[in-house]
Amino acid sequence: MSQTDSSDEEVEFELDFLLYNDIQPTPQDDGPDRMLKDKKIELNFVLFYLNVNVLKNLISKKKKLAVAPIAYPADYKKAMDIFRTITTTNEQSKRTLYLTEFIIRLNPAHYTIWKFRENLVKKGVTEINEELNFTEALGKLHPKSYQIWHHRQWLVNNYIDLILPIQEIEFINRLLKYDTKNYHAWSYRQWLVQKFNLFKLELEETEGFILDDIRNNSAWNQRYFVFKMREEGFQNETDFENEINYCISKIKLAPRNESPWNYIRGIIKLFGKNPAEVKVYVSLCEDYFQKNLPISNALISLLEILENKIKSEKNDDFQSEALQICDKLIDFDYVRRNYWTYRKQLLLDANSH
Amino acid sequence: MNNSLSEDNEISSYTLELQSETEEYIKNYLKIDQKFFRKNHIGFLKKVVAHLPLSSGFISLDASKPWILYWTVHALDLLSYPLSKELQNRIISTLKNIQNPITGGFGGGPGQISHLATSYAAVNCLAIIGTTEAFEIIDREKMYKWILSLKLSNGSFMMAQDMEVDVRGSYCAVNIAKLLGILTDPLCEKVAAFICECQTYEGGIGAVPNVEAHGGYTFCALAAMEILKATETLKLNDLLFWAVSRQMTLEGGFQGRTNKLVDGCYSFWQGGLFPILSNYFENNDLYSKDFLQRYIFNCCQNSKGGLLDKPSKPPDFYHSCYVLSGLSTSQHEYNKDLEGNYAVSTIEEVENDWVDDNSSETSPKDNTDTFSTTVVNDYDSSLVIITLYSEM
Repeated sequence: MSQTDSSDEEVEFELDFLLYNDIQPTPQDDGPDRMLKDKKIELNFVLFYLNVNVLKNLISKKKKLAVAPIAYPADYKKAMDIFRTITTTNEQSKRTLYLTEFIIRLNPAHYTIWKFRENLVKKGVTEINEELNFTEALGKLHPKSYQIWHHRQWLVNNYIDLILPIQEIEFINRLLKYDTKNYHAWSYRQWLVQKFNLFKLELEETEGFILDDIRNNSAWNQRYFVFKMREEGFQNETDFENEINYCISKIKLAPRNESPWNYIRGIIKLFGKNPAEVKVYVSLCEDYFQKNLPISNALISLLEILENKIKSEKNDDFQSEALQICDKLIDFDYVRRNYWTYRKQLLLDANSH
Repeated sequence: MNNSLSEDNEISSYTLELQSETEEYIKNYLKIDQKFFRKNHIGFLKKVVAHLPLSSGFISLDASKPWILYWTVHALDLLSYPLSKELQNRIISTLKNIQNPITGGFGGGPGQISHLATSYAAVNCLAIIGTTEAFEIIDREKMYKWILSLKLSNGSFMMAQDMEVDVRGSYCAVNIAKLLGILTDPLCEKVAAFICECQTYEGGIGAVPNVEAHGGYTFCALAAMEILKATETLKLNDLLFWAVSRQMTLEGGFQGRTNKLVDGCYSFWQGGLFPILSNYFENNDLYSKDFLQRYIFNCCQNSKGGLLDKPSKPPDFYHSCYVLSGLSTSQHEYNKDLEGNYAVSTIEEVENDWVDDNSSETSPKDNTDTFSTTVVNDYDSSLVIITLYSEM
């Protein structure tokens, strides 16, 4: 995947441990020692792995009761030992800031360290701009880290006067380049769009993402979010029709692409329309059906349209067409045949009552 | 407007290229039926609880210790591998040392801030061990106060003090509370309403309201609703349609979101929705268990041990836990009694009955024969909601 190709972003970050010479390290409390009654088992392991390092480990150290210890790299352990002391003295300084950066770069999921860093930012130990750059650099290396995105949102929320919303959107766009479906990026983007009322721009932005990859479901979801959450909703019938036409034009480019099908069904409901009354949509579905193309989403839409028609008017033609569609789906949507059989049974049951 | 509707007109895009590539190489794996490498998987998982330290690469999980233990203990449990008394006690001692004495919650490691996700992992790990010694380390009163302190006025939960909010928090909170018998009215208030808001137009559920529907969050949401007895306040027809649509036509495994790639871990996050849904639709065959099992056996196993996302990926503890959980849920049926408790039966028995009655028919389940003999366990404890204590 493209997002892993970010080696050019890798920054060597070395920590000068001399800076912390005056700090007494606090080692991790790994709990009580273990009784060494099971020497036999250990010997078996030694024989099994015949690994010098392991051998050293077994001989040199007292065994802890704790399971799954991690063989920490020396620098990480050293840094953590200093960090533990610092949390008790609550020192807020540049060197503690460097320390948190060093640990975070080795383990970006270390939320306890992030929390401490948050306090350093609050105390003004670093410039907000520098902190924004830091989260961006890390975000490129670890795009799926909850902590980085949370820290970014916390920064923007707390230093809102220092933030240009448009620059924040550009930041997200830079990160979406690595992975256009990054869940955290889109989540954060929704928060931002609502916070700064960026709905107008966002509609154009989603169009760009869909143009770039018509199957980017995150972008389709974002488009729905804009229509649902912007103050004006759908302004009028024309507005709604335009959106339906936009969607249909995208379906025609790739009729087996699920995203716009789910989207169009959603938009019709959002506007409070009965799908059976949206003529262009109905004729699109019927067209695919009559041409006998295996576009399951056209059939799924048509089934929904027919079910709606049956609700308002009991008609044997509608019923038999709906059953026919179920049979087709059972036939060629093989992995879901159980589900379509169930849907067919629902139709039969409703008719017999 | 262009009216030609030929199916060959599909325009290409990055998603389609990636999907086609994946299908192309997965096809080859699907051809050769693999056996189930139970012994090797046990060997892979036992590494965690063996006397050797995990390699330095695991520092990325240094804030997720209870998760490492939960994934391993749960996976070993699914493989019916019993933990020795000594090992049980060492795991309990490890978790006790990670517990925060002030909040009663569990952090990612000794001295770390209490976090709902790691507390969920710790409590569930202790529940699987299931001994008095395991339960005794939990401080219910502190835990209750701490969970309540993370609750926001809209019914959602922060994952830890002033940290991110999403439906994982809702699930972890009510799951822990249910297991510990502290699921009180103040804790439950508005929780279901918040989860309902997270259901999207696609039918699945996102992390927070309006965000894209996603398998992991959908499982958290549905499981939380089931514990809260509020499942029917979700749009279940839409949810079912979304869930069945996530099963991949060719691969047979599940994807996490629309137009994303298959991944073994969704065998549980998506596959695990069905045991809950089946009770509302009175149907135990809503998705294709045969297809899922074929994907798991052929594409999610490392022959040397450990389970994985898809061929070409290395095995890991997370995937071992959730691929096995998915496999287990596809081999068992979960039927609720009138009081809402789940009774679990293996499908193997069900299938044998069926074969006896219809021996002359050609079985549509033919291709599952090789798989149905490898039932991983009698039950999947992540779905069976047991109560460790009486209600508070």
